Parts: sequence; structure tokens; C-alpha cells
Amino acid sequence: MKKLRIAAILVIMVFIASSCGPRNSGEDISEEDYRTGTKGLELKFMRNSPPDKVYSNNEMDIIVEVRNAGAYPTTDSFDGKLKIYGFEEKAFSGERWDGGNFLSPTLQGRSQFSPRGGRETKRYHIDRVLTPFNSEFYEPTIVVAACYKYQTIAEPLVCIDPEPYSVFDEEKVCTINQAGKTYSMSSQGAPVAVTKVTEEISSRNIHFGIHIKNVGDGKVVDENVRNDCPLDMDYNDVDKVLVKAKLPFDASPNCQPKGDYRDPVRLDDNGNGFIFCTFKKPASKSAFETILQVQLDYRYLDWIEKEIRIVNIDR
Amino acid sequence: MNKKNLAIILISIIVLTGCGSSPKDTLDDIEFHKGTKGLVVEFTKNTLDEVVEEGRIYATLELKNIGASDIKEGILVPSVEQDYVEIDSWKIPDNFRTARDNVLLFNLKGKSLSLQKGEKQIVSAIINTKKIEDTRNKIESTLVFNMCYPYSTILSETICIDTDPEGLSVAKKTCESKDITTMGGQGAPISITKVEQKVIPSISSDAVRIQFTIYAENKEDGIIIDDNRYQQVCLGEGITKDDYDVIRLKSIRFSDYEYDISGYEDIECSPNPLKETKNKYYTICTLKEENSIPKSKFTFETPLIVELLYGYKITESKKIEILNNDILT
Repeated sequence: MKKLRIAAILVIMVFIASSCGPRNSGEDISEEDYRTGTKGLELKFMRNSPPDKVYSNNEMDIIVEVRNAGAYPTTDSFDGKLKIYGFEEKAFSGERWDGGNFLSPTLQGRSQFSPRGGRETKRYHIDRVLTPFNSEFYEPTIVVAACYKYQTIAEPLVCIDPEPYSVFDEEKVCTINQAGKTYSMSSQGAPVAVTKVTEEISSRNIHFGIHIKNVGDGKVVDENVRNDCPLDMDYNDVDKVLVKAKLPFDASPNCQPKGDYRDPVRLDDNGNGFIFCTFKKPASKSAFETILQVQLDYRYLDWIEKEIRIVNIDR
Repeated sequence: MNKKNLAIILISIIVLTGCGSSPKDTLDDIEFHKGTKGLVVEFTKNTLDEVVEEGRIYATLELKNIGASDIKEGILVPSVEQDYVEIDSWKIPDNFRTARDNVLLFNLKGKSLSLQKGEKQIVSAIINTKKIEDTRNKIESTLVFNMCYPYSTILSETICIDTDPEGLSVAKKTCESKDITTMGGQGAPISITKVEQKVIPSISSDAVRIQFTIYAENKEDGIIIDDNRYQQVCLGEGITKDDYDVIRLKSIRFSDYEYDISGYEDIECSPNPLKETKNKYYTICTLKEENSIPKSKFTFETPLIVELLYGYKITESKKIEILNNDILT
């Protein structure tokens, strides 16, 4: 009986010990798929920066923690900036970003080398806050917006069956039926995602319909509006996504819209967009599986906001 | 530790934790521009209701300015039945002075951080009673004190200047233009009850103009009088109906724009003085075309400061009985 009890305790201890340790369980970090999730940049005000309440003639800091929670870029090529607005200009004097408002190019996305993504803290310092016209208080809402270039890479494994109606080859790796084939996808570690790919085969070509969606909380803006973003844009500058699709045997499909600067994919009011690409058939007549590489390029606008109260104690 | 000691400790903790001031009590949270009172006057309890003929009575008044503006050159005019009483003299503090006919002129500070309840002063009129008719046991007389003073109402609210009313801009707007409705006053008897805000198009398509309609109401029992003629009104000198119901817009300011009655005008305001309709007063202020706000200035929040000027008249009275000396003896 005593031996049985000791054995039971040992089993429990082993169980607890195995569940408490770091989760390695054979998962090599390098093998983890970082291209998941719907985030690009995550913005957060540091605690008490800005404070809920500040007194006139005092200084104030607005400190924003920026984390790249997506999967782009994987090199030191991040391109983005912050902008603060929403308040009366004369309420702040001597205001400035430490090191300018551009985010560091080193703000890489999640990868095997940076599993949580890059992180940067930016400080906006105000030498003196005031209540305009000597009013008792002033309660502006401070908005910090991030406008940044981002990229989505989607790589669905698709079936290339050049002769879908052939009855002779019964040992096909994959098949496409008469109605075509649909590949459902969710997210790729970016705020704009390829959500679905449909495939159809015609006598001469292979056709892919690529469904795109803004799955983040922000706005998709034209990749070209680097300087005007966020305050000097209008509705011609939003919901534009550049799309490049390629297969190993055809890197230049004929797409409608073209998906380039002149003819980008336009997202609708619900954030959905679509591009239809026609590829040449491969030389081989055998069916095989390959990756359809879809690259989406765009600029993205995220923001956070906080209402503060400036109290005039010199009244 | 016995149960008794434990109970004492627990009670002490509860008492101590309950003693701390709540966050709302902090100095900076006090808003003086609240309420509908300005000057409040009342007789103190030691003003007697009865006095014998050919005697003396002290009519003691407590004057408190519990509004948010200072009173400068307020006037206190006694009005007594000369057949029965006469004011002999006044006992007054330093910031009061007597003028002709026992009239007092005074200054009283309103609420501020250093004077959170406003200034309070006590004045006493030393009143001599005259001999009353032998046939009367007593007579009743009313002591009346009229106070007239210039005052101002200052509204300070954060408003939204929406330079993109069509919603064409992409960036997140922090606010949308909307009317301001205020409850509870601004620390003055005249309250600005509502400010309607309209964004109106400018001739230039890339700019907007802002229009405010400002409504005010008399929230107390006093009478609104012309702030330029308040002393004459109180003294009853050459009064006309134009001396009443006069509220002037002294200034309106927001962002880089200002209207001031003395002549600084980025904004057109009319009518000024405010027009009365059904016990409400209003004026309309419109940003001038040449001062249109460019749409490139993104939607933002800014304080709107509106200041009204007026005179205000209140009356405090008390009945006293003058007793026949012979009855008493």
C-alpha cells in the first residue's frame, strides 16, 4: 500500500514537472509559422503618458509603445511614421518627437529571430501645456496615428491540373473538378489578408480568383501616400492594394484589375477586394501541387486615442 | 489579542480609511463656473423684527458673491419709509464706501482658487425710528435694499471644429461638431443654456466657416438691466424701458478667432445686445468669410469661450414693527 502511494506521488510530480517547464515539445522555433494573425503594428500608450489630467504650465509626455505584431518586414526596411493630432495647437508649446516622428527601419515583424516582433518606444515631449484663452480646463482627445508600409505574403498550396477532364491518368496527385476548387485561408500575419482563392481551368489557361480583405482595425491606404498620410489624404487614397501573383511556371499572369500602381485592387466599404488572374498552363500535362505566391503591398493606418484634461490652476 | 482589541483596531482602520479626501475634492477639480447665483444678500438673524419709536435698530445684511465674477462698483440703495425711519449711518468694511443719500458702493470678489466660496461682507445700516402717532400701538414698516451690479457670465466648453463635415478625410476624427447644452449655469444668474454650432460652406471650397447661435436665460429672480446704466436704474434716475433686458455679448473666442465688443472682429455677431424672445435671449455669431478655416487644418477640439455682460438688480426687504413707547410703559 505504501509503495503504491509513493508511486502515485511520483507520477503526479512527473506530470506537474512536465507541464511547468518551458514548452519545447519538439517544436523548433524556426519551424513556427509566423505568417498568422491579423495585426500589423500594435500601438499602446505607456502608463500615465499622457496622464488623465495635467496642470497648465506643466510639461507632458506622450509615450507610445509600438510593436510590430505582423510578419513584415524580415529585414531592416520598415517604413512608417507616427502623427499626433486632435488638439488645439496653441494648447501645447515646445512639442517634439524624440528623434523625429519616423519609426525605426529596424522595426521588423515576427520571425524566427524575433518571435514577438520588433518593439520601439517613441516619446512626444511637450514643454508646456496650456488651456487656451485661460479657460478653466480643456479636454482634448489626443490621437496618435501610425501610417506604415506593409506587405502580406500568402502562399496557398494549389493544384495544377492542366488536363482536368482527362480520364486516362487515374493516379493524379490532385484534381480539379468541373466547378473548380476553393482554397480557404484566414490570415497571414498582416492586417490585410488573402481570405480565399478559387481556381478554375479552361482549355488554355488556369484562372485564380483571389479574395482580399482588410482584417485589421485600421484603414488601408495607397502605398504611395507616404508624405500625405494620415491627415492630407482623401477618399481617392484609401482602400487600394497592389497585388502580385505568380506561379513557378508563370510569373506574369494577366490580372483584372492589374494590381499595379495604375490599376490597384479597390476594397469595398466592407473592406473586401477581388482580383482575377489568368495564368498560362505549364508545359507538363501531369497534375501537380505548387505554391501560388500572392503578395499584397499597401500602406496601413492604425491609431489610438486618449482624452486628457488640462486643468488651469492659474485662474 | 482579545476580541475587544480586534474590534477597536478594525473600527480604527475603517475610520482612518474613511477620513481621506475623495479625488473630487482636489483643488484643481473645483469648477467655479457652475451654479446660477451671483450676489446673494440676506438679513442676518440679529436684525430685530421689533423696535420702539425714537429708538435705533441695526439692519444687518450679509452680502456674498458666490458667482464666478468679481463685482466692481456694485451699488446698494436703501429705500425706507421716511415717515417712520431714517438711516443714520452705516457700519461698513474697507471695500465699501458711502455715497450720497446713504447709498453704498462696493466691490466683492467672486469665486477663485484662492477664494473658493467667494467674498462675503457684512454691512449694518444704523436706523433711527421716528415717533409714531399716539393713537397707534405699533406700525409696520418695510426696509428695502436694492442692489445693482455689473456681472458677467463666462461659458467655457470644449468644442469640435470639424473641418470635414462631409466625412471625406481618411484619418480618424477625434470629434464631430455638435450643439452644446448646458445644465446648472456658469456661476452667474444669467446662464448660457445652449450653443448651436453649424459648419457652413465658405466661398472657397477648401475652407469652412463656423456659425454659433448662443442662447441665454435669466435663471434667478433678479432683473436684467443695462450694465452701462445699472447705477441709474438702482437710483431710479431717468429710467426707460431700454434700460431693462440688456445682455451684451462681450466676446467669443475659439482657436485663432475672436470677437470682442470693443472692436476686434474675426467673427460677426448680431444682434448685440442679445435679442429677447419668450424669456430667452440669443445672438448669432458667424466666422467672417476672410477668416474661413482651411480644410487642411484637420478636425480638432478647442475651447469655446463666450462672455456675456449685463447689469443685475436684486432686492432684499424686511418688515419691522415700530412699537409705541407709551404702550410699553
